[in-house]
Amino acid sequence: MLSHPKLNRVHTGIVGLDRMLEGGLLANRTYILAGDAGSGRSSICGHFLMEGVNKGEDVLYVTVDSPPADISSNLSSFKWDAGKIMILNAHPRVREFKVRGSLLEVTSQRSVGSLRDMDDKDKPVQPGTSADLSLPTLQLMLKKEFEGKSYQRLVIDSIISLKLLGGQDVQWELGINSILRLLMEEGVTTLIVSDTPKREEALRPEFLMAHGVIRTHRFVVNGKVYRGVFVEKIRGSGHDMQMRPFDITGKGVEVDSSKALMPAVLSQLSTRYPTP
Amino acid sequence: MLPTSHQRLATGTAGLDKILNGGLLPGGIYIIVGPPGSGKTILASQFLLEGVKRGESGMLVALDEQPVQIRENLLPMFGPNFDKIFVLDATLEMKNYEVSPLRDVSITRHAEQFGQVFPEIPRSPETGNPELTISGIQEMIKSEIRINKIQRLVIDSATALRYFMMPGVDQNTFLQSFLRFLSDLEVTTVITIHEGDSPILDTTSIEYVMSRAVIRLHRWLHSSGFKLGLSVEKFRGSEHEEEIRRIKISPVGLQVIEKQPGSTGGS
Repeated sequence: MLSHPKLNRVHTGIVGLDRMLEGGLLANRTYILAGDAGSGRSSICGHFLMEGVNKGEDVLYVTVDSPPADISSNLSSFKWDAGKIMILNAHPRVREFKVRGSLLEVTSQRSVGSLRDMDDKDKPVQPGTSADLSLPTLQLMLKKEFEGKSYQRLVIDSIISLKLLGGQDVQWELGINSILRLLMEEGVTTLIVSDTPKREEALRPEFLMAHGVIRTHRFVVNGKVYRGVFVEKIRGSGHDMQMRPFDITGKGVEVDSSKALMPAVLSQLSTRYPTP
Repeated sequence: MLPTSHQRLATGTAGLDKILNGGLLPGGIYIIVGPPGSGKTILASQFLLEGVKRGESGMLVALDEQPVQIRENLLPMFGPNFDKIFVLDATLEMKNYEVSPLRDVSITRHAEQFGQVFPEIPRSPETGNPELTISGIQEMIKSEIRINKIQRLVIDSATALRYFMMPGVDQNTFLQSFLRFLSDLEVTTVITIHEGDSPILDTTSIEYVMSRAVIRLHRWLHSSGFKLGLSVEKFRGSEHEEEIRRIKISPVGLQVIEKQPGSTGGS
């Protein structure tokens, strides 16, 4: 007989969010962070990784949709020392001028560095070239990176453009399944950034396969910006069932897990999650 | 062997048997459909657990999640009886992009009880792994039902079956064939289906048509937070309640909340 399993909790670095999660994320699992543009997804990821850095863990930020310099300047606005966050630059800019090669050649082009070293040294974009990052390439990049180092925390920010480039068929589902399997086997706790699905959309395979889904919304009521976060699903754990307000201040993200969103804000959202 | 048709199978979920006019009818396919986090896997597991309590063997075919993780998730909720449920690992291994192995050998796995599951995620082989196929899965289910005298079966989830679709095969034909395979088995089967923010499965869906009953889980935003609900949309051969009832998931499981006098179930 097996012993009773004990699940370790991983703090997100955001006190209010950890409360919503009843203590944090379950370790060694993969979570989808899905939200509207400008809703604070990358900032949440920054907190998650900095929390690891502060505990002496090895953490990796895989940037796909924005250049590392953007991530760096975003995080340094919180006056953090983000230098210990390792970054895997999968942003298409670094590969756009190269001759298209095999998947293995592509992975050898990866560049991992400390976030501190990531100023705007990227090569200029060549007009007319196309990005060729795909799930198989990303998997190979990660696998290669894991060979030399074991990470405790990982962020993939984001899979939005990957999905736009090839997210329609069963190959996408198999690719996602395979990457999630890799992350599980590595035992790394991962956040994958995604966008908010259209209301009428079928459940995305990555939402289905992930161990949990956290969703963020950003909306404007009477000219003022509001942000809300809720925990949609966490396998193996109870969680808050309320949508909570959150702010991005000079110190980072703050979630107030004791408050509800204003009724005017909630009523805007209830059209998305209507009473049956 | 199936119990005789006038007997009902208890679902293991407090309050649900009453909605179903006494429980499930033996044999056939029951659907649990709903959005993420609404309790599909918990509801399906309670069906298996109830079987264990009554001395009936149950098996979960794990397509979404690793058996070891399902155990981590649910053992605290259900206790030692959960370890008596059989589980068949039907999850896909990591894909090997470096090589293109011949896909002519189908992988074979065996069901084991949750109590015997290896405590770590199995490592994918480095090269040339044989692939899990739909016919392989069907063969395994059939043989495990025979060997372990399975009476209650759960497929979690049917949504994940799509990974096993052959190129060029129509999705409906594929599903129809698998569902036909399930209904020919002499067991009572529960399958889970995932939905997004709005319902996709409707009365024209192949799963809907081929099932005996559809239990739908709901989630909606109320001023006091997200609420969960359950309704039985169809139950062939039986009376059933149709209104949406509130449910709650607590550390001891999922239950249907008793109706308050004078209140409606929906708000």
